[in-house]
Amino acid sequence: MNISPRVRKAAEAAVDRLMRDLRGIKSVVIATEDGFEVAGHMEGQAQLARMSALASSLSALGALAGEEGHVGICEALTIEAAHGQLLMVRARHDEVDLIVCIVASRDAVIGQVLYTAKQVARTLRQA
Amino acid sequence: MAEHKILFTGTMGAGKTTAIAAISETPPMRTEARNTDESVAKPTTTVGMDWGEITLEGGETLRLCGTPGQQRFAFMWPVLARGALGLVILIDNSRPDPLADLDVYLQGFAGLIAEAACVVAVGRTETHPAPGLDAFAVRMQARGVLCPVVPANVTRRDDVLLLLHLLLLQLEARGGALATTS
Repeated sequence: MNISPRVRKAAEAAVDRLMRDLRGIKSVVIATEDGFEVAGHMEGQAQLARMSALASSLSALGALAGEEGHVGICEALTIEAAHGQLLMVRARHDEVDLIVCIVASRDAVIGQVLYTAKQVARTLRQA
Repeated sequence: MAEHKILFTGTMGAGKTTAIAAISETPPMRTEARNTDESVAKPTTTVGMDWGEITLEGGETLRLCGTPGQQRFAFMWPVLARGALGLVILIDNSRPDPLADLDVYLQGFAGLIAEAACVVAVGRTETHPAPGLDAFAVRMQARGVLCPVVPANVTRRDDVLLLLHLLLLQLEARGGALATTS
């Protein structure tokens, strides 16, 4: 995987910002569109790799659902689970398309998480 | 009218998306992403699933489902395998160790193979004849799997239809009543 240091650094900064600025965040992964981790905060490297691949599949299925449902391009996907939420936001970059994946507990304010994740995605697009 | 699902799996670049596109009567649904894996010279790769459909002579519909090939997406395999009647394993004989590739999918889909029909299709044999088909059969036998092994160029519709025929023949032999593809 050939990711430029500039993009990788921006991804690491994005992870730091999300972990620092938001309450109730359990983990953050920034992955390539095809499921490789670029940066993340999570317990264990194996978990990081698994979540990166999972974010890739879910994001692609979300995009397909948007197309098939004729509701346009899917930029964000939210999964509500019993004890928290998963949120995925796409960041399209000229060099590599990225997915910001956030796992949040019930303590998180999901609107705030989505707003900040979109801001981070916008920053990554311009990296 | 009844619907049935056939699953296509195999390594990245083996031709799963191509095989489904070759025979699907509806525009296939795809989940392709830009490939960043430099070890494989391929612009895009499937990260979720492929999906197509074909109608059998009896009017029944075969749903054609393709898996992502890479092992990092193995969590998708049991999800997509659920309810499948048959499995097509596509092998790319130009890869460094096609027999080891076969092992990955025999193991990854062991549950489905035990219950459903299976066929192994070996691609790029014109340019990469080794290992031969016998070597694949021997490897499967060693793993306790008995199913047809055939060469296939999945860009050719007839080759892909032949794979479905081989699956349907197995299902018929087990007492199923699916008609063959037209």
